[in-house]
Amino acid sequence: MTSMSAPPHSSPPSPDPRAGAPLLLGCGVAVALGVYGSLHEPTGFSINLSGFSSGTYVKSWLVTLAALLAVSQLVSARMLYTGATMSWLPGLHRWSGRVAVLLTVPVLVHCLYALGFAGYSPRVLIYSVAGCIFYGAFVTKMLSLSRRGMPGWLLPVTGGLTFTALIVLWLTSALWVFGTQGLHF
Amino acid sequence: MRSRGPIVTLLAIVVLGMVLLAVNLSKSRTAGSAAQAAPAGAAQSAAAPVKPPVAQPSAVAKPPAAAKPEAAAKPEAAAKPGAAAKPGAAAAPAPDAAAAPAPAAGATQFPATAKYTGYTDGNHAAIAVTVRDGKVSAYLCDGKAIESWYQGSASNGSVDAKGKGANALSGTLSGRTVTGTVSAGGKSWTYSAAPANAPAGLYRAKSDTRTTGWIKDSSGNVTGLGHEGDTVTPAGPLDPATAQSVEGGDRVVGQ
Repeated sequence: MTSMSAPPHSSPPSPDPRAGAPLLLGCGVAVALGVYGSLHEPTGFSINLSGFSSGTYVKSWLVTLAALLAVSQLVSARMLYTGATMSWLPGLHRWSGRVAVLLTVPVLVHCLYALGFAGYSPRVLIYSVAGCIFYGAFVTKMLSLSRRGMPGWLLPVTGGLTFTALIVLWLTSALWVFGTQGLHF
Repeated sequence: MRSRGPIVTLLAIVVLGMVLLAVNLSKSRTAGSAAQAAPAGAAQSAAAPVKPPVAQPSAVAKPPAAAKPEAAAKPEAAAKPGAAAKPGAAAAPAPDAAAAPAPAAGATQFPATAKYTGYTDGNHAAIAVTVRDGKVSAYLCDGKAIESWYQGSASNGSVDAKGKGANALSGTLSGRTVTGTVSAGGKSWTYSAAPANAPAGLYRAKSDTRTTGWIKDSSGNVTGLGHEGDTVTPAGPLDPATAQSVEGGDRVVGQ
């Protein structure tokens, strides 16, 4: 098991101060989303697209698509880390990730603006927390990608956290909707 | 080569989020001002033609397995108030045509007093939401084992109410229908409820030890349960002589 392509000077125990900025900003985003969701008075405004039975189903299907793309993220990330050299692989990874997160944005806006951060049942609490973590981890990941010399663990950890949070979001929202209200559009 | 892409991605996401937020803000603001400028009834009927065709298919398009006897009552209950919108009925077609291009209905304000009855999706339980001057009384009842009362508030077209323990009810008014989520005894359901006119509504009978609630839907079906302390007991028949009509907040009208 070889370690990731870490620069020679990186010694695991000493934290890299440069990792601090993305981490702090990511945590800030997660907390800010949660605080906004708690303080903002839910309005109940609902997006809807023709062809769907309700805003809930629009959101459920958007999250489902994002979760499917997240699985492709996991697979392509693993291929990249295990040394796959297909020229299209990095592009696939980037674009599937971009599309996945873009798909979640309408859901985020609706959840925060219309419903807010809530904890009236375990499912809702887990969903609310996972939503904040998802965007916090994503911001950390994007920021750390844009800098060189980040510690080797940062990318897999934030990527894994982003993926895990999205799957938790899907389990606690779309799967719940499909399970309780039926699988349709 | 790695330096720009992620930042551009982040910015694109922030921009998309902001645009959607701005759309929401402008929509809810126009909806709010319309409801304030126009008489409540007119604003209601203007918004009504947009939303019900969207909201109701979720009830109609349920898998057949979920269709219980009450299912037949639900579309009827939803259709009736729309047909009975007497004051605004004549004015409705014009706003309808004007509002039709907008794909989503904005948030609607609650009337000063309103009652809604309906069922949870899948018809597990009946639900009644009553609103008066921003205060909410609501009741969920499956007629068998689950019942819960909720007290809370309504503003900007959304209701938020709490019951015993973790029981909670939230909902939003779209057009003339309230849809949302309700939880009781650790379970939660989505529901939709349509405007109810007397004798449909929410009724309560209270003695020293026992509280009984009944929901009468627009078709006349009654679902009720009582409780003494934490023990749920069957409700007797709804007797208009002893039961009081619950009209939002803690206000009850009756005898």
